[in-house]
Amino acid sequence: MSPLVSVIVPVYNGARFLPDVITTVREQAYAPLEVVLIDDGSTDGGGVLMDEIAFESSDWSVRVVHQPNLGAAGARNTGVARARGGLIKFLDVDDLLPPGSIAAQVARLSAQPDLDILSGLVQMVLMPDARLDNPVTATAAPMLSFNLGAALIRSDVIARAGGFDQTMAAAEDMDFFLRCVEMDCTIAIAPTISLYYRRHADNMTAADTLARQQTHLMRCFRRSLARRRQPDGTIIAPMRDWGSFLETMEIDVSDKMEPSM
Amino acid sequence: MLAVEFFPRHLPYFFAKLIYSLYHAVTRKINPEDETMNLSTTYRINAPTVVGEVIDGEAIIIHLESGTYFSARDSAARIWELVEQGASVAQIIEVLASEYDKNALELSFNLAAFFAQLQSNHLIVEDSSAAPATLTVALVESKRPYSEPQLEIFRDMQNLLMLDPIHQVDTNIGWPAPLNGNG
Repeated sequence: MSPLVSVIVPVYNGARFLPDVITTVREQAYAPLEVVLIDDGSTDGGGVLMDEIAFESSDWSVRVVHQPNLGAAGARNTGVARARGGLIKFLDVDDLLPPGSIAAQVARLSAQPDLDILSGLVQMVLMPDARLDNPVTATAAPMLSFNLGAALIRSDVIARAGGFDQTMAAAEDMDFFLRCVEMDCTIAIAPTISLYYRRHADNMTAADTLARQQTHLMRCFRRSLARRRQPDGTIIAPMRDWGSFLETMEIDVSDKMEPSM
Repeated sequence: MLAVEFFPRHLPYFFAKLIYSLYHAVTRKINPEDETMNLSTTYRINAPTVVGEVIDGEAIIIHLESGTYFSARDSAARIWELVEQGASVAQIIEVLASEYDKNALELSFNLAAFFAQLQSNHLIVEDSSAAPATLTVALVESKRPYSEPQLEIFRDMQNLLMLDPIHQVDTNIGWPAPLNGNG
């Protein structure tokens, strides 16, 4: 029997993307699967829409949790607490999954019981209202990143890592993955696209300049060093490089989407 | 006649040089000529290749082209902060001497080695066009204990930093080919 997958979707004022995210998960045609929508204090009417989607989804499991705004980390922690699946996919409301992506990741994790986290590559897709003045959006090529949506993660790993740090307003995903690496988790990054990351005018990171992205990077490294530093000042070394988990440089681009949609 | 004229003019220099050399011979056992530095020199961060930020007293510095990152703590973080503010070497020594329990002469020797390390890792470059910086220096009630500035080097994220799209990739060939690279 296939394992239950919980897709956790934190939503803060993302009502306009809800139909797409429900469709992309439904079109995965994977079962058994549950969707946990976390309404993180939305003020755009998204909460009501989520309840309607759950009400209309009698043939499959969509649950909604409403909570005051805690940010993405807090919403994901709530989702983990409510999820019943042994495998967790964190999916942002505005992102899409390539067809068959969840089934392929489940098959790999089932075949390899010692694998804790299976991730893949991310492709950026520009929506018509995407801002193009940001160098970070300049590529539509499959890329390596810490994006949670590209990964399928065993739920016990999330518990062991202590979930997400709610004090972090940004880059909490990178911080989470660095903690997993520090715990010596078994991680693989398959050379296939496993997430379409859509850029649009409302991206939480749309206002991010390159400088801000670099600032997040530095803060995550600082936190990692602080965790690994011994009382005598030395650092427990070495840390495995996230890029080293990529299994091959031969990138499979069969799922590549048109860069603009 | 020549000797008489020569000596008075250069005597202070000879004494200074002698003390300097002796100090080095005792404390560092290296040739001071290798580590002399011009006090009026101003360095600047090697931007945009290098980014750095001081977080809770620790400077995290990333060399984006090599993917190497660095940690500088305590006095080293303070020096990094002052370089960011455009302070000259003389100004940095002055500030450190006012904040740390260490005299300016000893500080200048430590700093020469530290700046050499920052330079050899391409984190700073000399800035000949720099105007004197106006520094905001807090009044220090009691001086902090001093430890020599040190730079820790980490190469454990090189793959990530060099492959991450934060570094622009060639838009035709795509990742992992770097921008204007041949793949």
